Amino acid sequence: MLEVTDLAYSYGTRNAVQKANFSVHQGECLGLLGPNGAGKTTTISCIVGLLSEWEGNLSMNGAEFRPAKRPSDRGKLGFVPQELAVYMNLTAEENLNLFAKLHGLGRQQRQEAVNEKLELAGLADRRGDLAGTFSGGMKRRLNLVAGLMHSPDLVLLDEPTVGVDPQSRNHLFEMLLQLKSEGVALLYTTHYMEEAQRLCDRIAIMNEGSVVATGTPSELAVDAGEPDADLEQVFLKLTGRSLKDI
Amino acid sequence: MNTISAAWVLAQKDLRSFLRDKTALVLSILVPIALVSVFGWIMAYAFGGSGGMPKVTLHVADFSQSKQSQQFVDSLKNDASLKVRLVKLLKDGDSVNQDAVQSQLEKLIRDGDANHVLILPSDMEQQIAEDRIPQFNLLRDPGRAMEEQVIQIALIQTSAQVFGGFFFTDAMQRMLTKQGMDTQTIGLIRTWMTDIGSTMDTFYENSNSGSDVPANHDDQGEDQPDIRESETKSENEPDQVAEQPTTNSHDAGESMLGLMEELMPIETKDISPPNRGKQVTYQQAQSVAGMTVMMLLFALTSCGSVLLTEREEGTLKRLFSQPISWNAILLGKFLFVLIIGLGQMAILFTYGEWMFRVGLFRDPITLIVLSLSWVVAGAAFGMFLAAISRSSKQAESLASLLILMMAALGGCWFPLQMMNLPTLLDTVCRSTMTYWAMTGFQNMLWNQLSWHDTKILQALGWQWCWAAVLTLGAIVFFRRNYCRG
Repeated sequence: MLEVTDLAYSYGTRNAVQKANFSVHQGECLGLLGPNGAGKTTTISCIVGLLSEWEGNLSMNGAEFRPAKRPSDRGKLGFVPQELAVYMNLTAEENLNLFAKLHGLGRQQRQEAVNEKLELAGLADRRGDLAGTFSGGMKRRLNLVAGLMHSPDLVLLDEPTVGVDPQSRNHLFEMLLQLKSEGVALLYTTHYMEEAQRLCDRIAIMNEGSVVATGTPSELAVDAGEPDADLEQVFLKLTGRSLKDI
Repeated sequence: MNTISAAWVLAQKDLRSFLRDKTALVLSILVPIALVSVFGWIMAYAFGGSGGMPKVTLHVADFSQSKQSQQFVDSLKNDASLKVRLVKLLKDGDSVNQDAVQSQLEKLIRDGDANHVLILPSDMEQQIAEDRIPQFNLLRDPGRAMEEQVIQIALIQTSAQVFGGFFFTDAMQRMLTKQGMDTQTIGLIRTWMTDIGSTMDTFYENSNSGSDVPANHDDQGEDQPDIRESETKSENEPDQVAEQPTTNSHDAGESMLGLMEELMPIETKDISPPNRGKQVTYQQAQSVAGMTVMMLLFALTSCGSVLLTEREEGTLKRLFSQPISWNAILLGKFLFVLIIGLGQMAILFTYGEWMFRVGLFRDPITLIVLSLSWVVAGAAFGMFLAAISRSSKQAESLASLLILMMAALGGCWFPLQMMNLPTLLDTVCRSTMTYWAMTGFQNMLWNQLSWHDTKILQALGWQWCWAAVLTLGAIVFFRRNYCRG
């Protein structure tokens, strides 16, 4: 579905992403793992269209994909940023309605999408409440469904579970698993290895701007020469034990 | 989704969000109203009745064109409180067309090009030769109490200098006659006053000896009245004074020019646009316009910083990932700021009109055109600040600094024409967008000009130029600072 080939991006003289290569298939969840500063968010930003002057190639279903230049390409993606990117002075329903409108959904479609996503997020009873009054977990759920209003085929999630309790995290996982079962492709960045192990079909490990390994957790362990190791051990072996963001 | 629709959806979102924050909403209305009230009262009542200000412009029309009138003008020019401007007189061949000039002078005041015009009579030389203080005429824009006081003092001072001790004896005679004293007693007092007058002459001759302006005694020195002459005059002059026209529109006791009218043979005529309320003072009109112009800038920059808040909170990132053009995001913010600005302007003007009755709604089209232009310029300023700032804190500091500076330079706090500015500073003031907003509103409020008048069109033109430049700057910096890559 999404093919990333030799993606590179620099902030001035600092190379944030260098020749990154990976692909995401329909109905698959690809975990993008890496230490802080590895280039995960920059990679996501290039794909979502927040950054434009990158090098390399992006293609979606075989066609060239230029999200920064073509708003219609951005419409093919769902994006869930790390920040709680919803408006706290608007109700849950108004937030979802806004993003549905920006995707050009008609009134009827919008209403259906809002109802469906509120149900999915478990917020149907709080639809009229301001997002600012929600708990951290509720805000996270609202943040997630706000990126799904147009029912995209590919959703990019940048650490969507930061700061939530186990119950809310579990609810978020169930939402994502449901999306996967519906054939939606997910590109998921996280620092939590157990999340990646539970949710992701394949994992791409980034280090210092490059994708250093791609495969299922067991494939990665074998490639790392430690078939019995868990994902965290493989990750530390591939990325090193020294601090990366000093 | 097309750019306009997307921008409108985003503007609606911001409006809804803004209206939800009740505290911010109430503050955004109450703070400007409180400031308009405070400044309005201070300007109208505190400063309105006292002097102590820099140079006041006095236009002088010299119908006499004589040596005496020239001396009088020179002496006026030497007065530190006045900026004297001689009016060029229209002539029919060699002679001055007095009717045409009178209309020309009245037009000067009506159009706001002058506030006070002093007319030196054509027979000034002859009146002085007859030992009379010349009969002056003063055309004035009523409601300029502060300037009038300065002019009053300067005219009395100049008259005393130019006409010497004779001025005091004449003034005394004038006052006593007005208070009903009989002519014989006045004659007696005048005799004593003549001696005092001689002493005063000597004093002024000495005090003027270092000045460029000679005391005007070259043709009076010898005919300083002796007792016999004074007696003769004192018998004749009371009638003469009584015959002086008394067309003053104000009761001398209540008028700000009361003292001058008591002391000098001056006839005043008020000239103001027909629709301006009698109770309105220049200071009130100035402060209502000034505070509105300044407070609107604060409101608009604070709304413009929504862009920065969105960036800091992460919602802007989500907006950038939507299938809308990035220009729609900027345009959406601009629309939001514009709507808030127009709403705030409507509230402030309604309040200002209700409170001070300055005649804001006399010409709704001009009011709408001026308000819209200022809101557009202000919105562009707000967006520009948001686009160049790295954080909302930075934007707030920058906004406070720039707005307060522009407000002071543009004349929002105090009328610039009251200030004696050096050329460079005057040019700086004229280059601010607040100056042109004030010029527009003042011409509408005080001079009652309409939107199609050249002066208002010029003010509008400058505001739109500013709006265009700032909008362009906002787009450039928005692309550079927000749409990275």
